[in-house]
Amino acid sequence: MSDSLPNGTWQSWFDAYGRKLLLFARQWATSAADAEDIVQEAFVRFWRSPRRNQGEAPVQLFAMVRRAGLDQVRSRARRRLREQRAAAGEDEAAWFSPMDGNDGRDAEIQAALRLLSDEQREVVVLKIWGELTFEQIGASLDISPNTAASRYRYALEALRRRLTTFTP
Amino acid sequence: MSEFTENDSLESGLRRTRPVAPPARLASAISASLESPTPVRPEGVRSRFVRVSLWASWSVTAAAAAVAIAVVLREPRAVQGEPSGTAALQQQATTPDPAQPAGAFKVMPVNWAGYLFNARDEGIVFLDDGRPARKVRYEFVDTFELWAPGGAGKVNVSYPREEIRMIPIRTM
Repeated sequence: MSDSLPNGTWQSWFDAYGRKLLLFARQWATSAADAEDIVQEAFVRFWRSPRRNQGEAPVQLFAMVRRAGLDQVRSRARRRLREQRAAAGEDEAAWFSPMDGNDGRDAEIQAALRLLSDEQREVVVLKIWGELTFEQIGASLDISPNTAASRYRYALEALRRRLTTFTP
Repeated sequence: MSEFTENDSLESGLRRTRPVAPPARLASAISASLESPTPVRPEGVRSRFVRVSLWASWSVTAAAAAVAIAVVLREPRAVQGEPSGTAALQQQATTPDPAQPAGAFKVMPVNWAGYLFNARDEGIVFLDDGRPARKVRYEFVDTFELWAPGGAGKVNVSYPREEIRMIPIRTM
């Protein structure tokens, strides 16, 4: 992750981290709307936090998204709704932007990510797309950097197996 | 998909994908939330005090009843033949009892306030599970306002209270 932080406006922070936060929020959301709710709640909380101007602010931002996501998962009403939506097959929103010439690779990656355990998936998302170091991932998830690295290694092995099997 | 056969190329392959951009409605929703009135939330020690106060409110009735008992015990005639406990005290305070001797001292708690007057950082300690934590000692003065029905007026009772909180330290 770049050491330079966005300038002082919330829009600049949102421009820099919006995509990453939304992808990270998808780990707990069952729909794009749920993920947006998580990001909105976490971002507003982050921006109003007196600690946002201190060091490691991006780590706090991801940690707040995770907390908001877990809160949403714990909500009984939302759990029921999620189950209903999953049963209805409504959660088909893309996690990645389609790119020219990738032959649907983004959809394959999304499908492979879904098959990872929650613990492995959140580490991969933070490492690859969040651009955090293992130390920062550990701080965000409240685990040791070694644990983060271990989960990442296992996740990559699982992804490699699954993505390879997609070869025609 | 031969590019995913090794972890290095797998990582670079993953990095080439780009997460979906947030829709404009999300930025609008955040903007609206940030422009809405912000609830006043004290920072640092004061915010902890709020939580402590909320926690302490659970014990207000019990503590006030204890103070009331102490006051009533100073009047032997008032407690003679009366059941003990908060319910009995409140019933005693709100329900006229013709059998009660004139001049019996009856009170009931009507208000409570807690004031934090000192917070002291006592350094880093280790919790039972080995995690480091900062030990902070808070000193309060709790004040109960007791009301004596029948025109006897109100009385304020204050006493000091101390609370120690262990605040876990996140290690990198």
